[in-house]
Amino acid sequence: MTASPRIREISKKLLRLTLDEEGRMVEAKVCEVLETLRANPSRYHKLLLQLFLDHAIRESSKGLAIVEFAGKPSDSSIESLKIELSRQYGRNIDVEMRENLDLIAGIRVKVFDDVYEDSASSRLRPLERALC
Amino acid sequence: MSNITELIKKEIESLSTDATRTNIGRITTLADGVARVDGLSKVMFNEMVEFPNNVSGIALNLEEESVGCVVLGDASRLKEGDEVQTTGRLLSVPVGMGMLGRVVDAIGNPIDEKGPIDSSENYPVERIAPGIIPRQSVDQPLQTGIMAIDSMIPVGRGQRELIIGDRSTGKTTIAIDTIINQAKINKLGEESGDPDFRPVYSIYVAIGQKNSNIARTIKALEDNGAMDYVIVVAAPAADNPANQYLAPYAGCAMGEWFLRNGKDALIVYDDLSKHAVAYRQISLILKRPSGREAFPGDVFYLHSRLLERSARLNKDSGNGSLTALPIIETQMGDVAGYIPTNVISITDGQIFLETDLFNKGIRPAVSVGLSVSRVGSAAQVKAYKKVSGKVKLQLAQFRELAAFSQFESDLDAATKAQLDRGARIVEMFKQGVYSPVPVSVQTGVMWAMENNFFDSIDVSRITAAVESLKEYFSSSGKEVVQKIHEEGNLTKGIEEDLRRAVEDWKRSFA
Ligand SMILES: Nc1ncnc2c1ncn2[C@@H]1O[C@H](COP(=O)(O)OP(=O)(O)OP(=O)(O)O)[C@@H](O)[C@H]1O
Ligand SMILES: [Mg+2]
Repeated sequence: MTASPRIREISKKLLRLTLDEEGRMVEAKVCEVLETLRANPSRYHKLLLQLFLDHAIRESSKGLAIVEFAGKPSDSSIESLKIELSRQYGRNIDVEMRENLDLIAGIRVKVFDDVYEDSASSRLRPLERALC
Repeated sequence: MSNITELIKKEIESLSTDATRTNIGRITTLADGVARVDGLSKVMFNEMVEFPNNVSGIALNLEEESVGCVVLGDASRLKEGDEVQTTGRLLSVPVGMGMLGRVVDAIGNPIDEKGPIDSSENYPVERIAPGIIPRQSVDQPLQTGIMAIDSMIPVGRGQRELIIGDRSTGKTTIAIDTIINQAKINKLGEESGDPDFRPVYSIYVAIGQKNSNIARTIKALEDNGAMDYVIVVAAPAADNPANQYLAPYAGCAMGEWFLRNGKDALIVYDDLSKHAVAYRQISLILKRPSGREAFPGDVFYLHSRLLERSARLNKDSGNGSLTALPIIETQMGDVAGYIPTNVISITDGQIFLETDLFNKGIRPAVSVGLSVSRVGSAAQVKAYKKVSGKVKLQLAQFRELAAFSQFESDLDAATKAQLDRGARIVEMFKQGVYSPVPVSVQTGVMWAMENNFFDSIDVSRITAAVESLKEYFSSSGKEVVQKIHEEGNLTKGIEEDLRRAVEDWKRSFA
């Protein structure tokens, strides 16, 4: 079943109910929403939950920067990165560090669908494309 | 002063960071050459996106939670879950003189096995048409070499003239004849060494045609020595709809290069009916709301924004021009269909081809009553205007009288004369494929018709007589034709020479 615009609208409203003033999802509020939904199940119960889940995944990835690196950056630079990203996105951004040796050297930061990259492999890519 | 340079230096320093910023998404569904992508929240409309495996695409539908992208190239190399990247570039194609003589696909890649293209410049395929200020009204002819058209429906540089008719009525032939004629004029002009000579380069865009047809067209261009002045953009029927949708805009971008560099170009879109169908296909897959005949609501804009890019620019803007000959295929002569009426309303006139005439052997099958050129007559050469001025009216009257006279047993002399003249004009306008006639020769032939030289020849022999006179003008009668060409006007002296030449021909013909 595909979701009608109305169901989509409702699922978005549900998400909004779970956010605090800083735009972060609060677990207690999520529980509250789930409980209310369970108490008043509609025809679209499962679909609504599915959409709610999609929104929740998207929302939580907006507050998380995945930092891939080859050669670990210093703690102080990670801290300043966190501050800079939080400033840029106007919300508190958490950082998750992952080692990725495919980068060869450098760093790649992913926040939701934005990617910032300064790595050896990204500089080699245009060259590779031009040659093949 | 040093402050200022400091300021600029600082600005540059702040720019030159090596980190790249892109926006990514993931393919959620993939069908019929269209990918739905989750993410890509910062993509621009019409921006190129990059899929894995060197496949690219264009973002066409920007929705709240997903983006609809058409895939250019091989969609079978992609799968759901693949990462998609923005590029920050709008789709562009190579342009310039190096494109001439080449056959390329909808995104400008060569497909003629003649090696890489020699081009250092790219133009975006979508561009806003020139505004009102840099434009100028049409005042230079674009001669098709087809007598029926040059005399009755003249086309000027920068004009948009629609070629419309049912299937297999000679639409493509008219366009190809016109291209061949430009090549012939270009060659003569270049040989003459005239510094004011302005060649016309051609772009032929084949949309949704069979590969065999495209190959035949290219061969005709090559055999007639026209290919050196032509760019062929091919998006055949077997190509995915995205390429067919893009091809006319890509061709137009190549034409715009000539326009903006003070040169003259001609572009043929063969045909826009199939283009609209390709666009409908994409739109339906993208789930855009559909309207009449299942076309999306913006199908008018699809063609208006394309054809508006043809223009004649004024002196201050370089004097260039881009003439468009869009082609539309009708169903059973119905010009009131959705796409035909749209395109008729955008263009500056149409050449309407009739199946009936075509089957009767009157080819090119130009309908006098339904064809019109709204601006072209301002661009006709003076000498030619003089001899062709009356012919459209004569022919229209002939068609009317011919219908009437079927019921009438005895006709008055004046009516009979009109019928006789009309029948001879019809014969005079018959013209084979790929044999455009120079306007100066056309002038001579039409002058002979106006001055009653054909009246004593039987109607059944007129076509042969006209052929023979054309032949004469390219051999013994060369001089007078050359004079007409140089003078551009029929002075008393030239008219005398012409009379002598035609009399001379007539003696040999009889
Ligand atoms: N002036 C002409 N004299 C003789 N034959 C012609 C003439 N014009 C066209 N033909 C012939 O008619 C046929 C159809 O012509 P053409 O391909 O130009 O038509 P079309 O309208 O473009 O067809 P389609 O609908 O398939 O695109 C061709 O075989 C062509 O050689
Ligand atoms: Mg055709």
